[in-house]
Amino acid sequence: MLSKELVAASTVPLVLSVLAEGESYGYALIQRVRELSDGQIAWTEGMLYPVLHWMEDSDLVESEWKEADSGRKRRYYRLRKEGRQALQAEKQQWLTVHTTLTKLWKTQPSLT
Amino acid sequence: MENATQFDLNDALRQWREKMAASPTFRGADLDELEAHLRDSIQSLQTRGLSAHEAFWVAGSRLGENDLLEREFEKVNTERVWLNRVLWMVVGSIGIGLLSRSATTLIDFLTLGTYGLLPGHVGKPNPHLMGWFSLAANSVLLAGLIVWAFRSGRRKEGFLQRLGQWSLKHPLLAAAGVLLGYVLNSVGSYVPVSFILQTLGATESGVLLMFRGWWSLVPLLVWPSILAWLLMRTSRRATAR
Repeated sequence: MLSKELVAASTVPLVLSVLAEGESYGYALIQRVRELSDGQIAWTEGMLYPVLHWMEDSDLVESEWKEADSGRKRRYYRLRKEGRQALQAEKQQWLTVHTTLTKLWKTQPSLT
Repeated sequence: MENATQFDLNDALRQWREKMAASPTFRGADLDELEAHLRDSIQSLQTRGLSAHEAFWVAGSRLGENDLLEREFEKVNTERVWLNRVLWMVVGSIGIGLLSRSATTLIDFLTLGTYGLLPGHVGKPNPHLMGWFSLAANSVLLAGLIVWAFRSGRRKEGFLQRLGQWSLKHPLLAAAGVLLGYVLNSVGSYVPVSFILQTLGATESGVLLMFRGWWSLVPLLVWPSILAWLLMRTSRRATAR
């Protein structure tokens, strides 16, 4: 399980990355992240929505209510140009942290 | 017996939504989205063998505690939260104004009435005495009102809370009610004053100086109009999709 701080820091890059695969809605987004992380990243689900709304206010994503075949309405989120740029920046930063940690841990095999 | 305890999912969701709607933080669209999420979640849990009751419970706990959600939504719905605060400030100021004016009017009538009964004073009220009476009545009323509002506002099911929820559901009616009360009260409070002026022997121009015709009521509409706008702005129907 991720720490509270890491969950907070990683939510936006995770959402941006899932939406880069195509438009999606809150519940499906959460399922995708849970599936990819083998259940390690389990958000308090309702907390995702204020983040999505903040991202929409910041022009990173846009949303639209759509009716599914079942007749149920869902709010779909789609990445905007600004969102793609933000994703690039996030990717750089997370890869920097990742490669640095990996290099360090390679020289400290006792950790694994 | 088994049927008596049968779980109604739609009813449970409606109750959940009503509970959430009691908070001014959530917009109608927020609740639509959270409800859609709950329904997806419940459906998926049910296909994995959970009963409707169990699925509702699990989906709800995964969604998060109401207080937690409220705190998180407050961060993004700041405009809404602030509009609600301003709304209550305006309601408070109008409410106190209304009550204070009513008290003054009432005291004015009372003093006019009692003075009329005293020999030698018939039809000759003492404006100084009336002023003191009115000041005392207003102070007592205001102090009482603040204590009452403080107590009622702290209770979750207090009169103020319920009034607030009702006015959010019926913004037009609430705004119309305030407007009517305000106008009636304003007109009412002119009556004793003009009566005093007339009994004191003031000419019609003196009354007119106080009253200046019907159009002088127009500025009185400013606050109720602001209130009406705030009510429309914060009402759930106005912001829902």
